[in-house]
Amino acid sequence: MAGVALKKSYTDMGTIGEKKFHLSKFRARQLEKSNLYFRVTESDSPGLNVKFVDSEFASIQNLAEYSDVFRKLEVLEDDWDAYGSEAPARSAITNARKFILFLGETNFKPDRIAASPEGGVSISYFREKKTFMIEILNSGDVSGVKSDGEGSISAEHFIIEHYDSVSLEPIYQNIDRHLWD
Amino acid sequence: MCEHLLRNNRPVVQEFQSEERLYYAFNAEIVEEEGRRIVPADAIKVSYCSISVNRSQFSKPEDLYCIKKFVGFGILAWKKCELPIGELKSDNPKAAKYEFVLSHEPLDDNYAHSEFQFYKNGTFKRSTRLPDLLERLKIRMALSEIAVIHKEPTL
Repeated sequence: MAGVALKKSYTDMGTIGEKKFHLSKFRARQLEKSNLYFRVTESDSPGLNVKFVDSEFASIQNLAEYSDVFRKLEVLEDDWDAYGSEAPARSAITNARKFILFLGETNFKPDRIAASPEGGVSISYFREKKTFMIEILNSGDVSGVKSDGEGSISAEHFIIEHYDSVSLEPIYQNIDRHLWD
Repeated sequence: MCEHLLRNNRPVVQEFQSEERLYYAFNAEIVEEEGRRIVPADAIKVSYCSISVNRSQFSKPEDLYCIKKFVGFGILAWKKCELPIGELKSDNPKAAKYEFVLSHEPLDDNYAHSEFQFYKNGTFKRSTRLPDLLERLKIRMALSEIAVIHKEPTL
């Protein structure tokens, strides 16, 4: 099957390859609110299969864009900051990749991915004065801290059982509200 | 080259001028966003109940490179009058109370050495970890927002 990404106006956006991507209900809801893109695949049955792919398309681009960053994280050694911090564990890096794959919408492209001095991966979003930083730690804990840039700073733990739409949706909503409201 | 940092029996000076700078070595890339240079909160390590800095009254920023492990690192600077000295705000009324203190703690080979110290419920124990991860995150964020980049890392 050939895959072609098309914009709502049916302007050709280019080929995204043979790989199929699962689209969750949550993604579909996101896409309903967003600038829609479709993926059109030829099928053995008459007609075309049309699927929304905007998020997946952006996610793949994101992961490719950050591949160098992840490679650097993978080879960091303990005490990389000279203050005794642990290098990011393989599990933390894997979870950070999943996190970015899920939050691949254009508006949620991370502005920074780096090692966390807590031991793990730090993912930051900046918009005007506002900041939202997620830390995916070697211990498996995930925490977030947000600032409005005017003195209000708060932090919270996130419970993530699986890196899927159910577990990540609250974080997505939290970032969305903080940066764009 | 670094002899001027030797303590040589000089006294502790706990008075800090309001415009005095505190210098911190860091190893992280600076972010450029919408023309603004941002110090990321991941550039600052808040783990134990104290953070080492050098004070400007007795040193220059580049004196941090007298500490070999910091060669090639970037340098952040905080102005004393902008530090969140005093009790740190908390959203949780049941949480322990943390107080931020700035203290001159000269070493034999570094007279300028000073510390950001975190007192928990009125007590300071240098070698203990700050137990609450969320507090550490908030402190890092607060410090990153008032830090000025003196020099970017060259590593």
